[in-house]
Amino acid sequence: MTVRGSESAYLPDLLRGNTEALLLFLIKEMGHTYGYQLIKEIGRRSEGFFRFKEGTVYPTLRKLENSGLLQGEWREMPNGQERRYYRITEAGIEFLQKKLAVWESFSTAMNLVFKPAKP
Amino acid sequence: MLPEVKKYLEDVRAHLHLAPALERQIIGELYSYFQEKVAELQENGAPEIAAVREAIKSSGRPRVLARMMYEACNKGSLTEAFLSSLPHLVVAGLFVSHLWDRAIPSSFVFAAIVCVTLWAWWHGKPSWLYSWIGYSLLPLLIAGYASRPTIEQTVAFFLGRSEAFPDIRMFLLMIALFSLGLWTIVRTTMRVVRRDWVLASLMLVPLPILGSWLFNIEQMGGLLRSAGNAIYQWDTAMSLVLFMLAGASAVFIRLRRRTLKIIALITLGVIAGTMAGQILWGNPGFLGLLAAAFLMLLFLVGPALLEARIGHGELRGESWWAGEWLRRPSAIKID
Repeated sequence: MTVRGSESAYLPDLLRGNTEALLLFLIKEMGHTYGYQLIKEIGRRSEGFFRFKEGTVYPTLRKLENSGLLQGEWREMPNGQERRYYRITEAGIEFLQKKLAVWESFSTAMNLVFKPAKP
Repeated sequence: MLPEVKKYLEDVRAHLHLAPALERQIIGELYSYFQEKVAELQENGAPEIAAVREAIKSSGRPRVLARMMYEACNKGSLTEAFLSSLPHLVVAGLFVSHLWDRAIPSSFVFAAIVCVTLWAWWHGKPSWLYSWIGYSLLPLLIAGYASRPTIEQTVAFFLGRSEAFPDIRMFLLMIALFSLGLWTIVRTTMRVVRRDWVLASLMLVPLPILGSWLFNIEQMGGLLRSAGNAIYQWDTAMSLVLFMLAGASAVFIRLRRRTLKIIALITLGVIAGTMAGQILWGNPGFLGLLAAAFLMLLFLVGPALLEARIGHGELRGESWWAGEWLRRPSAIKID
Protein backbone atom coordinates (compact mmCIF):
# COMPACT_ATOMS: atom_id res chain seq x y z
CA MET A 1 0.00 0.00 0.00
CA THR A 2 1.33 3.44 -0.84
CA VAL A 3 0.14 6.75 0.52
CA ARG A 4 0.45 9.92 -1.52
CA GLY A 5 2.92 12.31 -0.01
CA SER A 6 3.97 9.96 2.77
CA GLU A 7 7.35 11.34 3.73
CA SER A 8 7.27 9.41 6.96
CA ALA A 9 6.37 5.79 7.61
CA TYR A 10 3.66 6.92 10.02
CA LEU A 11 0.68 6.93 7.65
CA PRO A 12 1.26 3.48 6.12
CA ASP A 13 1.65 2.07 9.63
CA LEU A 14 -1.56 3.74 10.69
CA LEU A 15 -3.40 2.34 7.69
CA ARG A 16 -1.99 -1.17 7.88
CA GLY A 17 -3.95 -1.84 11.05
CA ASN A 18 -7.16 -0.59 9.46
CA THR A 19 -7.09 -2.25 6.02
CA GLU A 20 -9.46 -5.00 7.12
CA ALA A 21 -11.97 -2.51 8.55
CA LEU A 22 -11.80 -0.38 5.40
CA LEU A 23 -12.44 -3.36 3.13
CA LEU A 24 -15.23 -4.75 5.33
CA PHE A 25 -16.92 -1.36 5.49
CA LEU A 26 -16.88 -0.91 1.72
CA ILE A 27 -18.05 -4.47 1.04
CA LYS A 28 -20.91 -3.96 3.49
CA GLU A 29 -21.91 -0.76 1.72
CA MET A 30 -21.49 -2.07 -1.82
CA GLY A 31 -23.05 -5.48 -1.28
CA HIS A 32 -21.37 -7.94 -3.66
CA THR A 33 -18.09 -6.58 -4.92
CA TYR A 34 -14.65 -7.75 -6.10
CA GLY A 35 -11.00 -6.92 -5.44
CA TYR A 36 -10.23 -4.51 -8.24
CA GLN A 37 -13.48 -2.59 -7.74
CA LEU A 38 -12.62 -2.18 -4.06
CA ILE A 39 -9.18 -0.80 -4.90
CA LYS A 40 -10.73 1.76 -7.25
CA GLU A 41 -13.47 2.65 -4.77
CA ILE A 42 -10.99 3.28 -1.94
CA GLY A 43 -8.97 5.53 -4.25
CA ARG A 44 -12.12 7.39 -5.39
CA ARG A 45 -13.56 7.93 -1.89
CA SER A 46 -10.23 9.09 -0.44
CA GLU A 47 -9.69 11.30 -3.52
CA GLY A 48 -6.54 9.38 -4.33
CA PHE A 49 -5.08 9.61 -0.81
CA PHE A 50 -5.13 5.85 -0.27
CA ARG A 51 -3.68 3.83 -3.13
CA PHE A 52 -3.82 0.20 -2.10
CA LYS A 53 -1.65 -2.27 -3.95
CA GLU A 54 -3.40 -5.29 -5.38
CA GLY A 55 -0.78 -7.36 -3.57
CA THR A 56 -2.24 -6.10 -0.28
CA VAL A 57 -5.94 -6.26 -1.08
CA TYR A 58 -6.24 -9.78 -2.52
CA PRO A 59 -4.47 -11.55 0.40
CA THR A 60 -6.52 -9.51 2.89
CA LEU A 61 -9.73 -10.56 1.16
CA ARG A 62 -8.64 -14.22 1.37
CA LYS A 63 -7.74 -13.79 5.03
CA LEU A 64 -11.14 -12.27 5.82
CA GLU A 65 -12.83 -15.04 3.89
CA ASN A 66 -10.89 -17.74 5.75
CA SER A 67 -11.82 -16.08 9.04
CA GLY A 68 -15.50 -16.31 8.07
CA LEU A 69 -15.95 -12.53 7.88
CA LEU A 70 -16.50 -12.56 4.12
CA GLN A 71 -17.99 -15.06 1.73
CA GLY A 72 -16.57 -15.36 -1.77
CA GLU A 73 -18.25 -16.70 -4.90
CA TRP A 74 -17.38 -16.89 -8.60
CA ARG A 75 -19.60 -15.04 -11.06
CA GLU A 76 -19.38 -15.09 -14.82
CA MET A 77 -18.81 -11.82 -16.70
CA PRO A 78 -20.34 -11.16 -20.14
CA ASN A 79 -17.05 -12.16 -21.84
CA GLY A 80 -17.15 -15.59 -20.18
CA GLN A 81 -14.35 -14.82 -17.70
CA GLU A 82 -15.21 -15.50 -14.07
CA ARG A 83 -14.54 -13.02 -11.30
CA ARG A 84 -14.52 -13.59 -7.53
CA TYR A 85 -17.11 -11.52 -5.67
CA TYR A 86 -17.23 -11.03 -1.93
CA ARG A 87 -20.04 -10.25 0.46
CA ILE A 88 -19.91 -9.61 4.19
CA THR A 89 -21.21 -12.27 6.59
CA GLU A 90 -23.04 -11.80 9.89
CA ALA A 91 -19.76 -12.41 11.72
CA GLY A 92 -18.15 -9.80 9.47
CA ILE A 93 -20.81 -7.20 10.35
CA GLU A 94 -20.31 -7.89 14.05
CA PHE A 95 -16.51 -7.64 13.69
CA LEU A 96 -16.84 -4.37 11.72
CA GLN A 97 -19.14 -2.83 14.34
CA LYS A 98 -16.59 -3.56 17.04
CA LYS A 99 -13.76 -2.10 14.91
CA LEU A 100 -15.79 1.04 14.17
CA ALA A 101 -16.62 1.51 17.84
CA VAL A 102 -12.93 1.24 18.76
CA TRP A 103 -12.02 3.66 15.96
CA GLU A 104 -14.70 6.13 17.14
CA SER A 105 -13.40 6.14 20.72
CA PHE A 106 -9.79 6.32 19.54
CA SER A 107 -10.31 9.28 17.19
CA THR A 108 -12.43 11.12 19.79
CA ALA A 109 -9.68 10.65 22.38
CA MET A 110 -6.98 11.76 19.92
CA ASN A 111 -8.97 14.90 19.02
CA LEU A 112 -9.48 15.71 22.68
CA VAL A 113 -5.76 15.43 23.35
CA PHE A 114 -4.78 17.42 20.27
CA LYS A 115 -7.22 20.26 21.11
CA PRO A 116 -5.30 23.32 22.35
CA ALA A 117 -5.39 23.48 26.14
CA LYS A 118 -7.71 26.14 27.64
CA PRO A 119 -5.84 28.83 29.56
CA MET B 1 -2.25 -13.51 -22.16
CA LEU B 2 1.17 -11.91 -22.51
CA PRO B 3 4.28 -13.82 -21.41
CA GLU B 4 5.03 -11.23 -18.69
CA VAL B 5 1.73 -11.96 -16.91
CA LYS B 6 2.18 -15.69 -17.35
CA LYS B 7 5.67 -15.49 -15.87
CA TYR B 8 4.42 -13.32 -13.00
CA LEU B 9 1.57 -15.69 -12.14
CA GLU B 10 3.88 -18.71 -12.48
CA ASP B 11 6.29 -17.02 -10.03
CA VAL B 12 3.42 -16.44 -7.58
CA ARG B 13 2.27 -20.04 -7.89
CA ALA B 14 5.79 -21.43 -7.39
CA HIS B 15 5.91 -19.80 -3.94
CA LEU B 16 2.35 -20.36 -2.77
CA HIS B 17 2.81 -23.84 -1.20
CA LEU B 18 -0.95 -24.36 -0.88
CA ALA B 19 -3.25 -27.17 -2.00
CA PRO B 20 -3.16 -27.36 -5.84
CA ALA B 21 -6.87 -26.55 -6.26
CA LEU B 22 -6.65 -23.54 -3.93
CA GLU B 23 -3.55 -22.34 -5.80
CA ARG B 24 -5.52 -22.45 -9.05
CA GLN B 25 -8.39 -20.50 -7.51
CA ILE B 26 -5.97 -17.80 -6.35
CA ILE B 27 -4.19 -17.65 -9.71
CA GLY B 28 -7.62 -17.55 -11.41
CA GLU B 29 -8.62 -14.52 -9.30
CA LEU B 30 -5.35 -12.71 -10.07
CA TYR B 31 -5.72 -13.58 -13.76
CA SER B 32 -9.18 -11.98 -13.93
CA TYR B 33 -7.73 -8.90 -12.18
CA PHE B 34 -4.94 -8.63 -14.78
CA GLN B 35 -7.46 -8.95 -17.61
CA GLU B 36 -9.56 -6.12 -16.25
CA LYS B 37 -6.73 -3.81 -15.27
CA VAL B 38 -4.91 -4.24 -18.61
CA ALA B 39 -8.15 -3.67 -20.55
CA GLU B 40 -8.88 -0.52 -18.54
CA LEU B 41 -5.39 0.89 -19.05
CA GLN B 42 -5.63 0.15 -22.76
CA GLU B 43 -8.97 1.97 -22.92
CA ASN B 44 -7.19 4.97 -21.43
CA GLY B 45 -4.70 4.89 -24.30
CA ALA B 46 -1.81 2.81 -22.94
CA PRO B 47 -0.23 0.31 -25.35
CA GLU B 48 -0.72 -3.33 -24.31
CA ILE B 49 2.82 -3.96 -23.18
CA ALA B 50 2.89 -0.78 -21.05
CA ALA B 51 -0.51 -1.68 -19.57
CA VAL B 52 0.71 -5.15 -18.60
CA ARG B 53 3.86 -3.76 -17.01
CA GLU B 54 1.83 -1.23 -15.02
CA ALA B 55 -0.56 -3.96 -13.83
CA ILE B 56 2.36 -6.15 -12.75
CA LYS B 57 4.06 -3.22 -11.01
CA SER B 58 0.99 -2.40 -8.96
CA SER B 59 0.69 -6.04 -7.83
CA GLY B 60 4.07 -5.97 -6.11
CA ARG B 61 6.76 -8.64 -6.08
CA PRO B 62 5.44 -12.16 -6.79
CA ARG B 63 7.25 -13.67 -3.80
CA VAL B 64 5.73 -11.09 -1.44
CA LEU B 65 2.24 -11.60 -2.87
CA ALA B 66 2.65 -15.39 -2.58
CA ARG B 67 3.87 -15.08 1.00
CA MET B 68 0.92 -12.89 1.97
CA MET B 69 -1.50 -15.31 0.31
CA TYR B 70 0.13 -18.22 2.15
CA GLU B 71 -0.21 -16.42 5.46
CA ALA B 72 -3.83 -15.50 4.67
CA CYS B 73 -4.76 -19.12 3.98
CA ASN B 74 -2.58 -20.99 6.43
CA LYS B 75 -3.28 -20.21 10.06
CA GLY B 76 -5.02 -23.16 11.63
CA SER B 77 -7.64 -22.91 14.38
CA LEU B 78 -7.17 -24.34 17.87
CA THR B 79 -9.29 -27.35 16.82
CA GLU B 80 -7.00 -27.98 13.85
CA ALA B 81 -3.94 -27.65 16.09
CA PHE B 82 -5.45 -30.21 18.48
CA LEU B 83 -6.33 -32.56 15.60
CA SER B 84 -2.78 -32.30 14.29
CA SER B 85 -1.32 -33.26 17.66
CA LEU B 86 -3.88 -36.02 18.30
CA PRO B 87 -2.10 -38.97 16.59
CA HIS B 88 1.08 -38.20 18.57
CA LEU B 89 -0.97 -38.10 21.78
CA VAL B 90 -2.81 -41.35 20.97
CA VAL B 91 0.42 -43.24 20.23
CA ALA B 92 2.00 -41.67 23.33
CA GLY B 93 -1.02 -43.09 25.20
CA LEU B 94 -0.11 -46.58 23.94
CA PHE B 95 3.36 -46.15 25.45
CA VAL B 96 2.11 -44.70 28.74
CA SER B 97 -0.32 -47.61 29.18
CA HIS B 98 2.25 -50.21 27.91
CA LEU B 99 -0.40 -51.42 25.47
CA TRP B 100 1.65 -51.08 22.30
CA ASP B 101 2.52 -54.81 22.26
CA ARG B 102 -1.10 -55.92 22.66
CA ALA B 103 -2.57 -56.80 19.28
CA ILE B 104 -6.15 -55.60 19.86
CA PRO B 105 -5.58 -52.08 21.24
CA SER B 106 -2.67 -51.24 18.93
CA SER B 107 -4.46 -52.66 15.84
CA PHE B 108 -7.54 -50.66 16.77
CA VAL B 109 -5.50 -47.45 17.22
CA PHE B 110 -3.64 -47.82 13.93
CA ALA B 111 -6.78 -48.87 12.02
CA ALA B 112 -8.51 -45.74 13.35
CA ILE B 113 -5.52 -43.58 12.37
CA VAL B 114 -5.52 -45.02 8.83
CA CYS B 115 -9.31 -44.49 8.52
CA VAL B 116 -9.06 -40.84 9.65
CA THR B 117 -6.11 -40.30 7.29
CA LEU B 118 -7.96 -41.73 4.26
CA TRP B 119 -11.09 -39.75 5.10
CA ALA B 120 -9.17 -36.46 5.41
CA TRP B 121 -7.11 -37.23 2.28
CA TRP B 122 -10.32 -37.45 0.24
CA HIS B 123 -12.00 -34.52 2.01
CA GLY B 124 -9.87 -31.50 1.20
CA LYS B 125 -6.48 -32.55 2.70
CA PRO B 126 -6.74 -30.21 5.73
CA SER B 127 -3.48 -29.02 7.26
CA TRP B 128 -3.91 -31.26 10.33
CA LEU B 129 -3.86 -34.36 8.11
CA TYR B 130 -0.08 -34.57 7.67
CA SER B 131 0.83 -35.77 11.15
CA TRP B 132 -1.80 -38.51 10.73
CA ILE B 133 -0.23 -39.65 7.45
CA GLY B 134 3.07 -40.21 9.24
CA TYR B 135 1.49 -42.66 11.69
CA SER B 136 -0.48 -44.32 8.89
CA LEU B 137 2.83 -45.11 7.22
CA LEU B 138 4.18 -46.67 10.43
CA PRO B 139 2.41 -50.07 10.01
CA LEU B 140 3.98 -50.26 6.53
CA LEU B 141 7.38 -49.61 8.07
CA ILE B 142 6.76 -52.31 10.68
CA ALA B 143 5.49 -54.76 8.02
CA GLY B 144 8.59 -54.08 5.93
CA TYR B 145 10.79 -54.61 8.96
CA ALA B 146 8.94 -57.81 9.90
CA SER B 147 9.49 -59.22 6.41
CA ARG B 148 13.25 -58.84 6.80
CA PRO B 149 14.04 -62.26 8.43
CA THR B 150 12.16 -64.23 5.73
CA ILE B 151 13.88 -62.28 2.96
CA GLU B 152 17.29 -62.66 4.63
CA GLN B 153 16.78 -66.39 5.14
CA THR B 154 15.82 -66.94 1.49
CA VAL B 155 18.69 -64.84 0.17
CA ALA B 156 21.11 -66.73 2.47
CA PHE B 157 19.83 -70.08 1.11
CA PHE B 158 20.32 -69.05 -2.52
CA LEU B 159 23.78 -67.70 -1.75
CA GLY B 160 24.64 -71.08 -0.19
CA ARG B 161 25.08 -69.63 3.29
CA SER B 162 22.15 -71.53 4.81
CA GLU B 163 20.93 -75.12 4.65
CA ALA B 164 17.34 -74.39 5.65
CA PHE B 165 15.03 -74.53 2.64
CA PRO B 166 12.99 -71.32 2.57
CA ASP B 167 9.23 -71.03 2.16
CA ILE B 168 9.11 -69.52 -1.34
CA ARG B 169 5.46 -68.48 -1.13
CA MET B 170 6.12 -66.64 2.10
CA PHE B 171 9.24 -65.08 0.54
CA LEU B 172 7.23 -63.80 -2.46
CA LEU B 173 4.52 -62.52 -0.16
CA MET B 174 7.07 -60.69 1.96
CA ILE B 175 8.78 -59.22 -1.12
CA ALA B 176 5.35 -58.00 -2.34
CA LEU B 177 4.56 -56.55 1.09
CA PHE B 178 7.96 -54.89 1.35
CA SER B 179 7.69 -53.41 -2.17
CA LEU B 180 4.12 -52.21 -1.60
CA GLY B 181 5.09 -50.56 1.68
CA LEU B 182 8.14 -48.89 0.18
CA TRP B 183 6.18 -47.76 -2.89
CA THR B 184 3.40 -46.27 -0.73
CA ILE B 185 5.85 -44.40 1.52
CA VAL B 186 7.84 -43.01 -1.44
CA ARG B 187 4.77 -42.08 -3.50
CA THR B 188 2.99 -40.41 -0.56
CA THR B 189 6.14 -38.49 0.35
CA MET B 190 6.59 -37.30 -3.26
CA ARG B 191 2.97 -36.11 -3.45
CA VAL B 192 3.24 -34.22 -0.18
CA VAL B 193 6.62 -32.75 -1.16
CA ARG B 194 5.07 -31.44 -4.40
CA ARG B 195 2.64 -29.42 -2.27
CA ASP B 196 5.15 -28.27 0.36
CA TRP B 197 8.30 -29.95 1.65
CA VAL B 198 7.60 -28.62 5.19
CA LEU B 199 4.42 -30.70 5.32
CA ALA B 200 6.46 -33.75 4.30
CA SER B 201 8.86 -33.06 7.18
CA LEU B 202 5.90 -32.71 9.57
CA MET B 203 4.52 -36.00 8.23
CA LEU B 204 7.79 -37.95 8.52
CA VAL B 205 9.10 -36.56 11.83
CA PRO B 206 7.95 -39.49 14.05
CA LEU B 207 9.31 -42.18 11.72
CA PRO B 208 13.08 -42.06 12.52
CA ILE B 209 12.27 -41.89 16.26
CA LEU B 210 9.85 -44.81 16.19
CA GLY B 211 12.14 -46.62 13.73
CA SER B 212 15.04 -46.38 16.22
CA TRP B 213 12.80 -47.60 19.02
CA LEU B 214 11.65 -50.51 16.82
CA PHE B 215 15.28 -51.39 16.13
CA ASN B 216 15.93 -51.58 19.89
CA ILE B 217 12.87 -53.76 20.37
CA GLU B 218 14.11 -56.06 17.59
CA GLN B 219 17.45 -56.36 19.37
CA MET B 220 15.53 -57.63 22.43
CA GLY B 221 13.68 -60.35 20.55
CA GLY B 222 11.16 -58.51 18.43
CA LEU B 223 7.67 -57.11 18.63
CA LEU B 224 5.98 -60.49 18.47
CA ARG B 225 8.13 -62.32 20.99
CA SER B 226 7.96 -61.60 24.65
CA ALA B 227 11.20 -60.36 26.17
CA GLY B 228 9.77 -59.68 29.60
CA ASN B 229 9.27 -56.30 31.17
CA ALA B 230 12.57 -55.02 29.76
CA ILE B 231 10.83 -54.11 26.51
CA TYR B 232 8.84 -51.46 28.38
CA GLN B 233 11.95 -49.66 29.66
CA TRP B 234 11.72 -46.88 27.05
CA ASP B 235 7.94 -46.37 27.27
CA THR B 236 7.86 -43.32 29.57
CA ALA B 237 10.67 -41.59 27.71
CA MET B 238 9.13 -42.39 24.31
CA SER B 239 5.81 -40.96 25.44
CA LEU B 240 7.61 -37.74 26.48
CA VAL B 241 9.24 -37.50 23.04
CA LEU B 242 5.83 -38.01 21.38
CA PHE B 243 4.26 -35.37 23.64
CA MET B 244 6.95 -33.03 22.39
CA LEU B 245 6.10 -33.88 18.78
CA ALA B 246 2.42 -33.24 19.61
CA GLY B 247 3.42 -29.77 20.81
CA ALA B 248 5.52 -29.22 17.68
CA SER B 249 2.56 -30.17 15.45
CA ALA B 250 0.19 -27.83 17.29
CA VAL B 251 2.63 -24.92 17.13
CA PHE B 252 3.23 -25.61 13.43
CA ILE B 253 -0.49 -25.40 12.67
CA ARG B 254 -1.08 -22.25 14.71
CA LEU B 255 1.78 -20.23 13.22
CA ARG B 256 0.90 -18.15 10.19
CA ARG B 257 4.36 -17.41 8.76
CA ARG B 258 6.02 -20.20 6.79
CA THR B 259 9.53 -19.28 8.00
CA LEU B 260 8.39 -19.55 11.62
CA LYS B 261 6.70 -22.89 10.91
CA ILE B 262 9.98 -24.22 9.45
CA ILE B 263 12.05 -22.93 12.40
CA ALA B 264 9.60 -24.34 14.97
CA LEU B 265 9.33 -27.75 13.31
CA ILE B 266 13.05 -28.20 12.74
CA THR B 267 14.03 -26.97 16.21
CA LEU B 268 11.49 -29.09 18.09
CA GLY B 269 12.02 -32.06 15.74
CA VAL B 270 15.80 -31.98 16.27
CA ILE B 271 15.35 -31.68 20.07
CA ALA B 272 12.91 -34.62 20.05
CA GLY B 273 15.29 -36.66 17.86
CA THR B 274 18.23 -35.91 20.16
CA MET B 275 16.15 -36.85 23.21
CA ALA B 276 15.24 -40.12 21.49
CA GLY B 277 18.94 -40.70 20.72
CA GLN B 278 19.84 -40.15 24.38
CA ILE B 279 17.12 -42.57 25.50
CA LEU B 280 17.48 -45.31 22.94
CA TRP B 281 21.24 -45.37 22.39
CA GLY B 282 21.96 -45.60 26.12
CA ASN B 283 24.04 -42.51 27.04
CA PRO B 284 25.82 -42.04 23.70
CA GLY B 285 27.94 -39.10 24.93
CA PHE B 286 28.22 -35.61 23.47
CA LEU B 287 29.39 -36.75 20.03
CA GLY B 288 26.62 -39.33 19.87
CA LEU B 289 24.02 -36.69 20.68
CA LEU B 290 25.54 -34.37 18.11
CA ALA B 291 25.27 -37.17 15.55
CA ALA B 292 21.62 -37.78 16.50
CA ALA B 293 20.84 -34.06 16.15
CA PHE B 294 22.64 -33.89 12.81
CA LEU B 295 20.88 -36.99 11.43
CA MET B 296 17.51 -35.63 12.51
CA LEU B 297 18.26 -32.26 10.92
CA LEU B 298 19.28 -33.98 7.70
CA PHE B 299 16.10 -36.06 7.77
CA LEU B 300 13.89 -33.00 8.29
CA VAL B 301 15.46 -30.88 5.54
CA GLY B 302 15.69 -33.87 3.16
CA PRO B 303 12.22 -33.14 1.70
CA ALA B 304 13.44 -29.61 0.79
CA LEU B 305 16.19 -31.14 -1.35
CA LEU B 306 13.63 -33.47 -2.90
CA GLU B 307 11.34 -30.52 -3.70
CA ALA B 308 14.22 -28.70 -5.35
CA ARG B 309 14.60 -31.74 -7.60
CA ILE B 310 11.01 -32.67 -8.44
CA GLY B 311 9.46 -29.18 -8.33
CA HIS B 312 6.31 -27.77 -6.84
CA GLY B 313 2.72 -28.24 -8.00
CA GLU B 314 1.14 -30.96 -10.05
CA LEU B 315 1.79 -29.79 -13.61
CA ARG B 316 4.63 -27.74 -15.01
CA GLY B 317 5.10 -25.47 -18.00
CA GLU B 318 2.69 -24.79 -20.82
CA SER B 319 0.15 -27.49 -19.96
CA TRP B 320 -0.57 -25.74 -16.67
CA TRP B 321 -1.84 -22.70 -18.57
CA ALA B 322 -3.65 -24.53 -21.32
CA GLY B 323 -6.80 -25.41 -19.43
CA GLU B 324 -10.14 -23.62 -19.43
CA TRP B 325 -9.86 -23.22 -15.64
CA LEU B 326 -8.19 -19.78 -15.85
CA ARG B 327 -11.43 -18.43 -17.31
CA ARG B 328 -13.66 -20.54 -15.09
CA PRO B 329 -11.99 -21.06 -11.69
CA SER B 330 -15.34 -22.08 -10.17
CA ALA B 331 -15.02 -25.38 -12.06
CA ILE B 332 -12.05 -26.29 -9.86
CA LYS B 333 -12.95 -28.61 -7.06
CA ILE B 334 -11.18 -27.69 -3.81
CA ASP B 335 -9.69 -31.07 -2.88
